[in-house]
Amino acid sequence: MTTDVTTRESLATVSLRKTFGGVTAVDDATVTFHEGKVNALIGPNGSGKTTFFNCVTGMIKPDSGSVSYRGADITGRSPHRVARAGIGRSFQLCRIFPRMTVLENVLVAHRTHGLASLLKGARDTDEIERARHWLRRVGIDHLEHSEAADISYGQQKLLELAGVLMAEPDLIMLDEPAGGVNPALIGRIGTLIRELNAEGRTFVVVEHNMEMVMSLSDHVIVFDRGRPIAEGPPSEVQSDPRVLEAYLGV
Amino acid sequence: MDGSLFLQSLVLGILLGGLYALLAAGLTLYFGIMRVVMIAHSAFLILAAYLAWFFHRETGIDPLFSLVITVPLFFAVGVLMQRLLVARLRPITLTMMSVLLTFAIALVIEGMLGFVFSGTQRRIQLGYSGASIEVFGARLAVVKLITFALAAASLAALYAIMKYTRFGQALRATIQHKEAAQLVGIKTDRVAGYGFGLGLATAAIGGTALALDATIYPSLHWHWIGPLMAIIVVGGLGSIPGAAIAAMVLGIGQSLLQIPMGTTWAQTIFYVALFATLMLRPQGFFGGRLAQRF
Amino acid sequence: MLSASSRPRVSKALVAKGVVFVACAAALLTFPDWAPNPYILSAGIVVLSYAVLSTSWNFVGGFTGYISLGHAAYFGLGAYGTALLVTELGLPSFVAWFVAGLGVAVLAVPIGWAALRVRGASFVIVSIALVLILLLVFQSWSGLTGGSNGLVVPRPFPDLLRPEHHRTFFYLFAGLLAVTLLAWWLIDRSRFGMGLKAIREDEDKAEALGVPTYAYKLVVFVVSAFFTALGGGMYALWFGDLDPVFQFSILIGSYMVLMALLGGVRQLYGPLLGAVIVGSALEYFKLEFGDTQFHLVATGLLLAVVVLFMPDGIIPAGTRLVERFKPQRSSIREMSAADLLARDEAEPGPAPGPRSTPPTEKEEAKR
Repeated sequence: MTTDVTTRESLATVSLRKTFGGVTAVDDATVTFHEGKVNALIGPNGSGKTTFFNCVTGMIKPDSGSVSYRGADITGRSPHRVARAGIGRSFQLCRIFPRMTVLENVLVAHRTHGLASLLKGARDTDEIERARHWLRRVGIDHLEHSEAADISYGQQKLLELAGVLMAEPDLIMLDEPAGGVNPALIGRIGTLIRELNAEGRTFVVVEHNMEMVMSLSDHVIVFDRGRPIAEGPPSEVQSDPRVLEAYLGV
Repeated sequence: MDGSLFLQSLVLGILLGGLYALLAAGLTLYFGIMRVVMIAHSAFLILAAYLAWFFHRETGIDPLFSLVITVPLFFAVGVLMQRLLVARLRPITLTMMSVLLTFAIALVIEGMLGFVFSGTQRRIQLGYSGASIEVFGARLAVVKLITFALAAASLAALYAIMKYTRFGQALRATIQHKEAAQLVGIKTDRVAGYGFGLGLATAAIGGTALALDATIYPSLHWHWIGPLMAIIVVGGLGSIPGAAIAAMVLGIGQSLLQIPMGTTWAQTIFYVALFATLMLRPQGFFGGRLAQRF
Repeated sequence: MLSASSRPRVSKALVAKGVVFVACAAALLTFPDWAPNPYILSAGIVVLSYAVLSTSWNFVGGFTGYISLGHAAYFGLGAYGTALLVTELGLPSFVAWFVAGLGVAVLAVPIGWAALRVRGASFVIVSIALVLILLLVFQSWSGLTGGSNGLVVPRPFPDLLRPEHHRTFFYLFAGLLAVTLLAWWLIDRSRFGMGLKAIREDEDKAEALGVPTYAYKLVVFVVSAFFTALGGGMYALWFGDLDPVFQFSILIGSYMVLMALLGGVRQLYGPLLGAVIVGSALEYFKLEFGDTQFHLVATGLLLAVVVLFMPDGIIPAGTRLVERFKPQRSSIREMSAADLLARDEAEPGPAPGPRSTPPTEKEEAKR
């Protein structure tokens, strides 16, 4: 399907809804993300952002509504098929494979094609080169043989990012990439996002770090109580009274 | 199907379901509090039955009085087990390792029972063992009624504890969200220990009740753990009401199926229900949010 | 695991490993010759069969981290399948053996499809339920299976005397073990295996990275059932007499788990090592104490010890113990800030010094 990049639809949800027991975490959320841009998803704690992420990426099945990516309906698809469709994601509490080495952590995300390649050795030289490339890109290539459980939390965050990138996604969803890391690392992550975005990748970033959000993003969507309440360029959203109310109000 | 036979089976099923419900509640407690699948629960059940039989054999007193000894004893053992063994396991692999650990405990119990009491089948003979009451055309064995009464009373007591006491509140909080409970000052470790004790106490009661009516032998616990675990999965892991409902439904079902299919094949209902749960609703039918992903 | 040095230099450690391997293999293959009597030889066969079973179990347990406590289900199905194909359909013994193995593999598809829909504790429950229900069925269906009276399996080599019979089956089991180990090794070094290990470490994360977790788990589950069934079938042909209580035995299932855990589930030869240790101990206990209930107690205690004190296997636990007695690499010494800086700059990478806490505790601290 060849469409002009500017008109090609990216990730979009229509009336997405998810309830847990008595709590409606995502409430009739209709959102369209902008292709090729850095989209930020902000909102007070408990506004449903992570649940929204989970519904989109298939970890949770939404109660109703639909999710589409580049025109194709991906509602309720299992996470690995969402990943295959070109969407990668990171987790709020950084998740890596603790008892595997840094290099192996990244290699898991290889792009296998077909049954025969499965029995191929895990030490495929092309894949290793690609994995090393991403480790270099995020800056932890010197830790290649360390066990993932032994490196620092910040390094694990970078490792998680390298793994996500290894799968070569076109859309990258990051859940609080700046969470729990020192300012220098936040800066590095921000630069990385900008570079990768310039190379054509779309980003959807959930963040609480406002400085990062405002400097990094092209389009901001504000969530409150499970649904979007405002969206637009950072400067607009920043001064929107509804947004202030959501953050400061009850 | 003959009307009175149906009624009889139905009532028997209810009586049986009561016992299952009590035992399943205990099993749920361990899982709810500490995400531990206590495979040794039924082994303790049989141990209690043996203790009741032994008590009766040595003292001649009605085995129900052994409850005075076994309930506090099992409660203490439960607390000790949680503090000394389960708490030692690493949090990440807790569920898996607890399964293996409690499995090991079950093996040890079975082995010791066989060692001490030999593999001979035992049965308590009481004055009222054969007596039965007639209710609306159904003949109900007195021992089964006693079992049900005991189970129902215990479940009621458990409910009262959980709902109306401070400890019960703390227990429920610990089950729902351990970290949050800690934040409000609940000593979750101690609560977990007592919760375990409660669970094992239900095994003591259930086992004593069982001894009144059944023939016991060391490997009998395998006949119970399968159905009990199927019950808690069907009911939804972590939900006591769910387990109780599933227990009643399956107990009645088993009893009714005994007429056309015989005792052995009627037991398959638990496994069929388990299979159905896995295929249709893996998180269980009657509640249990804990069964999402564990 | 990828090695730190990719230079193909033959190190001392490698030579040592090679020597040990050759020595063990030689000891194993000549065992029938130096075993003092046919009883010891048959004990050796039992140990080998345990090795096959625990290695087969380890396809699921070691790679995906799913603990199946009812794996004896496939052992029993393979045994009875083989026996029935010989007695009812008249198939030649080893044809029946292989066909039964394939049959169990096919059966493992719907079983696995249902069982793998849940994880952790529920999966264990389901695996136990499976073996219990099979026990029930095979005990009740006496018309087909002989029920509790047992089922006699015709010997594949009726002319052989007992010692020769044992000898032949020793080598047959050894061969089956070799094939099973080979299959495990192939998966271990493949991308498929890497995906499986990722599932073990963090299933949801693996799925988010594009690993088709459900399909992967199912495939390795079927492979595991296949090899376990082959082990069961061969046991049937060797032992000649089947009883549901011994074939669909939770105890045998627990042996499989214990042996794999003790030897180390993430190692190729782990289950084999565990089988040798536990199997020999069991046979010894049987000899000394007779067939009392005591072996249940012993198994339970050993399993508890392994779970509490050496969940990663006996070798890591052993090396940790040895490390304690060696001179410590790091000691409490007074160092100035400048010294520390100089030391850290000299050694790149993560903080130097031995890893003093197990990885999982560190992980907890970070969460």
